[in-house]
Amino acid sequence: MELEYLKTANSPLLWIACIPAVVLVIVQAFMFAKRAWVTGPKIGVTKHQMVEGARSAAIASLGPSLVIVIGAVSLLASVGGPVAWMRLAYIGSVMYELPAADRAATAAGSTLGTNNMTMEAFANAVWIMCVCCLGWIIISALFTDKMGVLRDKVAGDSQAALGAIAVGGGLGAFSYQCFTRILPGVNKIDFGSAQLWAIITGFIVMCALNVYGHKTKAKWVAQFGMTIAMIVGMLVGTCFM
Amino acid sequence: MEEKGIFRNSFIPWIVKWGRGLNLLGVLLCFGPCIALAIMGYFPPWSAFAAALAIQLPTTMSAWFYEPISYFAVLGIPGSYMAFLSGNISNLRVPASAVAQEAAGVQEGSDEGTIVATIGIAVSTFVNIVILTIGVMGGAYILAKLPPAVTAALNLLLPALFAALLANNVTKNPKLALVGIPLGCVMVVLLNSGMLAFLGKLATPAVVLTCVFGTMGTGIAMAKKSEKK
Repeated sequence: MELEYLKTANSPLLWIACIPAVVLVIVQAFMFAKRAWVTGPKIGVTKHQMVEGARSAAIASLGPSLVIVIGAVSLLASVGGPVAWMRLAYIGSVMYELPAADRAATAAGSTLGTNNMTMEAFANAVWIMCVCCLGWIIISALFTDKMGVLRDKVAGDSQAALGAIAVGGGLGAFSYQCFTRILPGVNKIDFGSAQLWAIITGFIVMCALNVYGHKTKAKWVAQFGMTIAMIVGMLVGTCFM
Repeated sequence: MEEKGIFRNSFIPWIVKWGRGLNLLGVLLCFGPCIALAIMGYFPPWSAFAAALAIQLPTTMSAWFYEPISYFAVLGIPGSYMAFLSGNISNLRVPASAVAQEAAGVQEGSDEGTIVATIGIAVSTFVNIVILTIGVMGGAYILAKLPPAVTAALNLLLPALFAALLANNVTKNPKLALVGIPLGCVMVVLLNSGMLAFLGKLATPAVVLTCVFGTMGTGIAMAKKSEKK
């Protein structure tokens, strides 16, 4: 039987309330892409390059989007369709929403997705998810241009330094993301962990593909490489489940 | 140079104007579901709201700052606005941006790179919303019926993706990786050992920022040094 609060959570009024936010995301993406599309050729980016970029980004987005949908299913069961849909298309992330909703429900004395969940607890979860993600968008709205100025100052006129900033940022951030999963809270490597092998495999496959791609100039590597590494990593990881 | 002029004096100011405006509008629209619940007469018990806020805010607040800073270099100015409005940054926007620039053969972080990244991130937004909408409308039923083993397997996509993104940056600059990877490892070990416990809730952001800025700083120093030669 459908839980009582989920009837409200899936009501048309909630759908209507969630649509504007998602539409805003689409409108902004469309506006920016169009402007980039027009500006690109004027600064020496060819139409062909832009199409290649768009196609590859689309393919690379499929896998991660699937992961988000899976997150949406658990969120859906706890906070209903409209809120889950909006929360995963708008600010926040799949890693953030569920714990936030869970904490809010607990603080209101209920458990997500169970029949002791009250309307008040649901309202609390919605409010917490919405309020606690505001910082991201406020910070980005106010400081993105300043970060651009700062980056250009630090790099000076050096193209190499500009590249090093981008690569250094990626190395630092994803090295942390990997090690925090390899050593999840304890300083001991669990060699039976599926996550560990997914990481090791993903890493090795991507390195090998990149080396091959640089040598042969094979285009498919840049387009599909990351998707392949991700899927092979997942498959090898499942052998350890 | 005229080329630079168009990008710096026309494209970026336009993006900043609309990026800031739309993202601030986004703050208001975020309250949509809250308002709908209020219309139906449902409010959170404010004491519970305050309690949950007190638990949630400290963990999230640090991410408000370190995520925009950490990912800015990869996303660029237009990408940052779009990514923070649409969310799912490390797991979707960053890979889309990196792959687009790679496939177009432009240098990451350059003006050309920013143009391609803008298109790549926009495309990832469309793909994500379409898949999510299909998933939430119809697929939820099917997904709920999937054996738990399949969903558990799909959850391994994310760690594999992070590893692939790391590998991408390693092949771009292997020398810098010799600093970046050990630094990440050491910082996580320090965090786990509890030696950073004195930082309280700031321990994790401090670790991330050390990894990011430490590697970035080393990279800039290395680049400037080799250019002087």
